[in-house]
Amino acid sequence: MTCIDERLLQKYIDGECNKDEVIVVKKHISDCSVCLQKLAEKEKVSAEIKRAINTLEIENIEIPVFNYTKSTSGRNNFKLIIYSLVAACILLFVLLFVDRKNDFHQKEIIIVQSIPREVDANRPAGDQELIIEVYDGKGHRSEYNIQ
Amino acid sequence: MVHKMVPNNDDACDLVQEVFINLYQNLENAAIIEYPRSWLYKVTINKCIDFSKKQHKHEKIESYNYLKDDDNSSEINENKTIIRLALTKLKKEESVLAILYSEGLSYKEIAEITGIRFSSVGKTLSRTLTKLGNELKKLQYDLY
Repeated sequence: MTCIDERLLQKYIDGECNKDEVIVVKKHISDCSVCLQKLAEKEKVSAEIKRAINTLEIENIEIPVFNYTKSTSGRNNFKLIIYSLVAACILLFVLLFVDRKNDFHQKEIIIVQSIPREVDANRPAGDQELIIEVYDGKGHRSEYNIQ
Repeated sequence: MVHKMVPNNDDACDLVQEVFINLYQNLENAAIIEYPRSWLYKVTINKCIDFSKKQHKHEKIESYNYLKDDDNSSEINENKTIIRLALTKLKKEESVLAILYSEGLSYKEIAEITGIRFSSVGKTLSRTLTKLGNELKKLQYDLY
């Protein structure tokens, strides 16, 4: 007959055995006086140690009152500032660059190059007359005569 | 529970306070605590161990003054000191296990808190209790 090991005895004492284990232990201790004595001894030691350690406990422990200020509120404010800054930056970007782009379209400049008179083939190219007409966004015309 | 690990009453109260502040912060940050009871025990143990480590820098663990309780009754006080001394003779994990056992926790809870495998709790506990019993006997504590 194999005797019960310490682990199973401890489990039995602490009520942690399943049904099958309980049957095994009960059946065994009914036949084995050594294990029965061991169980009684272990039961005593366990209970006494529990009692001894529990004497260290003091009843009615007073927990100091704590006025806990939200530590995360500071973090939330910080987050809020960051989000506000990001939003401000995006708005600034839109105002500075996107709108300015539209302005560029309005201020379109057209340059037209033309040679109004007949070209004198006998003269060198550097002496030929060249007129450049420039139209700004408002339709104003400027003429530059280059010789 | 804290008193079993920290003898001084004021220190114990402060540690309990710290544990609950920790809990409050966790709940505020919407942290999910699956097993609150086990979580509280785990945090308490860690706080007590940290506190003991800090304390050891100033006083030796075996020093009588450190282990002395605030209780005035000399005989009770003497017994308490012996129990604390016996607990310090065990490994840290073993003394924590013995303390958790004295709290009447189930093996499942003990396994969750200590990280010991559920199937090994019975064996480890049996060994620890025997060891603690022997230490108490060595210190001439009248177990029964």
